[in-house]
This record gives sequence, structure tokens and C-alpha cells, in this order.
Amino acid sequence: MLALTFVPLAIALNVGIGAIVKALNLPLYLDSIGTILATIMLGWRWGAVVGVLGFIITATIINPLAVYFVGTQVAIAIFINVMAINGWFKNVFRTIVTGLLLGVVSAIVSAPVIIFVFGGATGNGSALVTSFFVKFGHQIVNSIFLSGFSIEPVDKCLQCLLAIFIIKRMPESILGRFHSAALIQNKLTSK
Amino acid sequence: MNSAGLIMHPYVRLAFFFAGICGTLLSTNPVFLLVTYLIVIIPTIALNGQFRQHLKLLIIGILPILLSFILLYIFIFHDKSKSWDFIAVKVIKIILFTSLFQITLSIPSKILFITLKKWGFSGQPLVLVLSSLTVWEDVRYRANKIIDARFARGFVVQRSAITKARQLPYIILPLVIAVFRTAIERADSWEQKDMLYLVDHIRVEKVAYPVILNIVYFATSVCWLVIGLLIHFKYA
Repeated sequence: MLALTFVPLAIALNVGIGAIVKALNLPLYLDSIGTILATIMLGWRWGAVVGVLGFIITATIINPLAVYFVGTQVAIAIFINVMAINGWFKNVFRTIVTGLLLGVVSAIVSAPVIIFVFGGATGNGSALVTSFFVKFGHQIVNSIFLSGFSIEPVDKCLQCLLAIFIIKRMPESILGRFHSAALIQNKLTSK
Repeated sequence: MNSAGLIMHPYVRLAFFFAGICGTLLSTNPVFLLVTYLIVIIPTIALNGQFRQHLKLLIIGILPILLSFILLYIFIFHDKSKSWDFIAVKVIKIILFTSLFQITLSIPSKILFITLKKWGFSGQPLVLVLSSLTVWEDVRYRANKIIDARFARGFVVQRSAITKARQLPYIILPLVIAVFRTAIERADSWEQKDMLYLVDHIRVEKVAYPVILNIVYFATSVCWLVIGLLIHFKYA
């Protein structure tokens, strides 16, 4: 039952933090923190549910184009789960490495959507970076990958750091309710 | 959303969505795609009272894409004759897909429960989708309150991007803790009330959908799919 009540709120967190970032006009996405948190606290299946449902809701409320990237959210949940159960959130250095790798994974998974659905032009900052690489002689497909590799790791690294910052400052009374292997493996809870 | 959003029967809504997606995917004819947008999507959006939402989609979502297409394919690739056709098809397809999501997934709260039930949701998935579609507004409200409080207390003196970015973890933390606490409280309360049983056995009021309009929508969905198929095989 806890998963059932936490998942909608984690979805709302994805949408809510996205709205905060938009309100503050920051050059970031930060739209997957709910997905990362749900994966660490409840496992990859719930993480994927948070990501997919969250992006569908975001598409109907804030950013209509988010719906095309639901596959990326599933990949994020699976990757975070693999890293978390192997203890890759134990310290800041490991979390940064996980974030950077997650950025690479996200870029690889998002690239086919950007190529086939958007033809390379997503209308955000990454399209300008893609144009930059095309201008300097790269093929369009290579440019999309290079653009993803240069933008995604920074954003995903920040999201992983934020997720761990949040969990580490969470009261034990709350963390104790979640019986996740990832939490114990990364020494995020004493229980 | 106003009461006009109550027009589509759940099955017609589903048929409209899938026929629209398939019809759009199969067609590469910009004229057919544009005509579909003008005679199917625009009137439906008008009937649903979603003009403002749709305008937001066009300005925030589609216009930047169009501009980046022009930058990439016209100014950098310089193949103007081929690129304009490519841009037209891509942009209209993106508009059609996204409009379909807007129309079919923006379900009025009055018929949300019955629509999800008719779509086959029950038990855990039903509770999950239902609460996901309704709870976000509460969280967004709380998020805005936290931002206002941080600004009002003077924690953010300069409103530069770096100062604001530094405040972000401190804004997010109280929000997340509130979210976790709410989740735990709700879990306990739902368990006591046996929420899953209640949701599956609750009686719902019957909704009177306009029959003719739903027949028109169903026929439109079928036509969209058939014409898309014909165009696909003609050009294949």
C-alpha cells in the first residue's frame, strides 16, 4: 500500500520540481528526481511507473513533447536500479560517476526519438548544440549523439546528487518504512 | 475544463486515439495531414474547450521545433526544396500526435473514474492512475508556497541564476519530506479503509454521452485510419 500512495506523489514530484525549475528559469530539466527516488526506495518497476506516468501527465499539463521520452524514463529506472543494488550511491564520488553514466544512457536512449520523431530538432537548447556539431562537419545522427553526451550527463549528475541529498536528510522514521535493498546496500538507512 | 469535455465515450476516446496515431504514422502526405488537423483536431479542441491549452502547445512546443528545423535544415544543410517538405511533414505529424494526447488524455474529473474503469483498469492500477492524475496539483501548490516563503524570508537576496540554483535543494527538501509523510499517512488510512475493495465495488453514476457526436467521432477515427492506410500503400 505504501508503494501505491508513494508513486503518485513521486510522479507529482517529477511534475512539481519541473515546475519549480521552470519558475526559476534554470537551464536544467530536473524532471526525473521522482523516478530516481522511487527506484531507490521501491525498485525499478515502480520507478518506471513513476517515470512513464509522470511524463504522460507532464505532456498533458506542462510540456506536450515530454510524452515522446517515456522510454528514457524506463531506461533511467533500470539503470539506477542496477547501480543502486551494486552500491553506486555510497558516496559523492560514486554518485557523480552514476550520474555521468546515467547521462550517457539517457542520451543513447533519447537519440532514436530525437532522430526519428523530431528529425534532430527538439526545439530546446540541445537543438542548437546539434546544429553546432552539424555546422562543423558531423553527420546529423552523430551530432545528435554528441549533443546528448554534452548536455545530459550534467543534468543527470545533478539529479542523482539531489536524490541522495534528499534521502540522506530524510528522517529515519520515514526511511524505515521502505524496505529496499538499494537503501541498505548504499548505507542510506540504518535498518 | 468545461462540461463540453464530457462528450467522448471512453471506447470512442480510445478508438480516436489509436486510429489517430496509426493514421498519422502511416501517412506522409502533408496535405492530408494538414486537412486532418484543420477538420478533425481544431473542431474537437473547440468542443472540448481546450483552445488555450492548444495555443500553449503551438507556442511553447511547436514553434521552437519549427525554428530549430529551419536553422538545421535550411540554414545549415542548404537543401531548400527537399527540406521544406520534410519540415512540413515532421511538424504537422508532431502537432497531430501531441494534439491527440491533449484531446484523449485530458479527461474531465467527472468522468475520469468511469473512463478508466471502461478502459479495463481495476484494483491497484486504477488507484495508481486515478491518484496520479489528481494529486499533482496539491504538490504544485505546496511547491509554489515553499518558493514564496524562501523569497519572502530573504534567503534569496540576488535573483541571479547561480543564487537561485543554490536554493534549489533547500526548496526541494521540505517538499519531498512533506510528500513522504503524506504517502505514509495515506498508506495507513487506505489500509484501514480497505481502499482497493472500495474502489472496485463503488457504484458510479451513468453518464449520458451525446450519441450522434460519438458516432461521428467513431466514423472519423475509422476514416482517418483507412485513408492513412490507403495513402501508405499508394506511396509504398
